Amino acid sequence: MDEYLKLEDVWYSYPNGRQALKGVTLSLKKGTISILLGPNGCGKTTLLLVAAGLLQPQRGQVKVMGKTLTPDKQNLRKHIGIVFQDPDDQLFNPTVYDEIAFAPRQLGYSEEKTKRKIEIVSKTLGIQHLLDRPTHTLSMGEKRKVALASVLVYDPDILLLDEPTANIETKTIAHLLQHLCQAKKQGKAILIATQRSELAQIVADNVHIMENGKITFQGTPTTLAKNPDILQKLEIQPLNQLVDNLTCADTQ
Amino acid sequence: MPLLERYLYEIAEIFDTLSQTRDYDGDPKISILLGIFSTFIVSFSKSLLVYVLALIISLVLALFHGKDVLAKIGKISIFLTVMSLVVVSPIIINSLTCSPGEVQSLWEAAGLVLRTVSASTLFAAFLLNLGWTGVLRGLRELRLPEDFSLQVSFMLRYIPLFIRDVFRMLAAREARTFAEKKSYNILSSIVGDLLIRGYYRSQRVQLAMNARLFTTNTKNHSKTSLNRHNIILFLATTILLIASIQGVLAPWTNI
Repeated sequence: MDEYLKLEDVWYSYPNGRQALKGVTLSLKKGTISILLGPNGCGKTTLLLVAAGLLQPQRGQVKVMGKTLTPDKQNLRKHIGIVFQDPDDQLFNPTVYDEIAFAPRQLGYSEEKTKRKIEIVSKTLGIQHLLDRPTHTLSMGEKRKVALASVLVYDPDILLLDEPTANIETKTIAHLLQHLCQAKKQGKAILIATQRSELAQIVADNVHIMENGKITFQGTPTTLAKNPDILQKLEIQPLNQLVDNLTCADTQ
Repeated sequence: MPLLERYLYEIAEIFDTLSQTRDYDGDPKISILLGIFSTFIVSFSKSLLVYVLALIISLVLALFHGKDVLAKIGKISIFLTVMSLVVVSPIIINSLTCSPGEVQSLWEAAGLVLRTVSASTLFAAFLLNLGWTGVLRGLRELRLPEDFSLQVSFMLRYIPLFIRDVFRMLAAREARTFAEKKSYNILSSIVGDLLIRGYYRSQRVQLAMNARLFTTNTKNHSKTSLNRHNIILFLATTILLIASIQGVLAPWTNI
């Protein structure tokens, strides 16, 4: 089973009638990193929430490890780890340790096993020194690492990350990408929703471009690089290309 | 800093103090039970001795954790005194204007203020002594419904965040308010926004929680272990109990 996650013709509209997803089809394979690119409000976050089984699509289906994800098959969700855009939404436990321990405890792991898992994941992400800290006192970069740790700790096969590089310094972004590459090597299927098109060239095996609730492009980073007009049209090309003609700094 | 902002700032500070990790090696469930019982004794006592002892015990408990916690306890007491005085002010005014020379109602007003301040300060001291994590551990170990301890956890986690949101919104509005600064006027304009933000945040937190909820069973792993902390709190509660009984046996010492 190489296809870990598959969305087939998924439609989702919010209670206020806004149609966020319009027939999205997408698949994630074992040991790959896919980038979901798109401008603000195009439905990236909704797609991740539907893929994680947190929102139920009105049409279409989500398959996890070959099985259809329905509200009565919530145990399938243990194969999926989702990291939210705003870590303050995700980190609701009093301390970092409790935050990371939340999912293992829900899965019924013993305290011993939970502690062992936390030690491993915190060492991997370099956050051992934060374990006793209250989550709201962390910096944004630390919060992002803790949010990732809280998901990696139960070893999901599929990782969904919503704007993981937002509001953090480049050094932390580099660390984060290293960890994701490591997770990829372990065979995880990873989907990163972002507006930063340069990520596609750095880590992606596949790129999906989303526009107004639809996937308008699917291909490799190489194919995307050959079609720069796709990104230009959506105005999500890398910053250095966007400001190419802009010279406002006084170089005299 | 204007009074309103100062007030919000102090609340955020108190929550921050509460959330600092304590080296609490006592049994949190016993400490919580003792805290509730002590507060109960003070709340229903009429003895001046009990009130004074409760305040002294609060200060001693705060002292265990340094000047910072002691300062917070002091601020809590002052705030509660002011608020209680506002509440009993009709009694005081009535007593002074309508029946001058009659001291009974003044005593009653003083008793009400003292009871409120001492009971609340004592409970706050127990909580600050336990710390946020201790309180939550205690609630879980007391086998209270998981929903309840989660709600307390959310409250402790999100109130400071909420207050900081208020600060940011106040600052953003004040930055574009060029007339004389009146924070309470600006605050009234952000109430609606805050409710909406709170609603959306709660929706997102619920989703985040559901993402890692695979079963409704949450296991508690606890065992009872009495130690120094619990013994100190037990002694404090016993002293209050004895003083309270003395108040019942010798009613002339009451107010």
